[in-house]
Amino acid sequence: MSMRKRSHDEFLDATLPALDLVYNLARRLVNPDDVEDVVQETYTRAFEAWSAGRPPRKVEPWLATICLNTGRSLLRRASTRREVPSEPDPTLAASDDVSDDAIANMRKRAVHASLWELPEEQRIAITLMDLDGFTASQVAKITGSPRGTVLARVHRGRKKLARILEKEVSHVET
Amino acid sequence: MKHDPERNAAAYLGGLLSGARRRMFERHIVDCEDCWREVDLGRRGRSVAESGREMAPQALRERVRAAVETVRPRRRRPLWALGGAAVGLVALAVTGMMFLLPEREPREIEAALVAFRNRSAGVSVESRLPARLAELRLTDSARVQLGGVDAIAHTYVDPSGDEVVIYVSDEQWPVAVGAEHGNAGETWLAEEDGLVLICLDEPTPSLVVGDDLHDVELAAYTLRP
Repeated sequence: MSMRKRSHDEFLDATLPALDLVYNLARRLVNPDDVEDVVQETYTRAFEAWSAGRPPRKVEPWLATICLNTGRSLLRRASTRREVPSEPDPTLAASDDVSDDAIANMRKRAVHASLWELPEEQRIAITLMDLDGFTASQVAKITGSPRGTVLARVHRGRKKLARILEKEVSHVET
Repeated sequence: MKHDPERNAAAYLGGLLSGARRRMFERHIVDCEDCWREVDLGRRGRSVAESGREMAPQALRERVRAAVETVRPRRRRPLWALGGAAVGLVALAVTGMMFLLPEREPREIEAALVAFRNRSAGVSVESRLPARLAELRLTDSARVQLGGVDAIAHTYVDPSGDEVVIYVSDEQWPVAVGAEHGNAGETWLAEEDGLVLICLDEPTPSLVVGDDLHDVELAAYTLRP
């Protein structure tokens, strides 16, 4: 195996397990059309840093930081409007039955839409903590905000999220 | 604890309360309607958020793999990009010949890098450095030998658990390969395989090593006189 091939394989072995994490973050950061581009650019930027001799000790927070920077620079460059996806999300498998999977997918769609009703800082903090599993200290480091601020954003966002979905459920029931 | 239901619930759910404070708050929410509501709503919101976690499509996995494989690996940066372009050009000219042949680190520096990467243990000693350097907390001080030089390794951790080690010796540290003299009171700065090194001559010869530039600078600049 060539040195070059080994370098790519080492990087992909170390970072691809974190793809879901990067994907979840990108989904709450940019428009649906830009999500895959941001994920791809995150990985190519990360590989450039890795191959330049700067591999991180912890892959997950490192990739999340790169993803956040990549997404934000895309938003700045394109002045992309951030909005709730208005059409059915192609990444969530459609199903004809009312099995648990279909219900879970409907719920995911509802949660995703509700997350986009939150201010960006709350949405990103919740994504990093509750969807990606980072600690408050790690989120503080990734976002460059004090830990207390992160916790306040997450808590306020969670409260809003719970209320939004409860309102929707009671609306459906009545 | 000040009675601020939102703040207290956020700290409680975020795992910031420990031991007695946590138990005290748990006793408190049994009787306090406001705090109980905050905690309950926070928990429900967390559960809602967690249920929104998605898996990346398989096609994206393949796209990422293909995209990465088309990127040519970069060569490792030989110099720590500290100063402006002028400083870089001068340094490049002066040390130009160094790029032709790979240069080995002095054995003390090499030993410090190996010790940091392997978290080599030593004999614990009483620390002469502060228990805290800004947000960094001292967790261990141990006597080590680095390339024949006696030193004390002081390990600090930042709030997210990343470590910085300050190796303190009675002897001056040699200069690392590709090091540059800093302009903020440090003796030199260098980067080696993803690790950052800052050397201080005062108050005692110290070598600060870590993989997070922010933490290494924080330790070094809080330590210097």
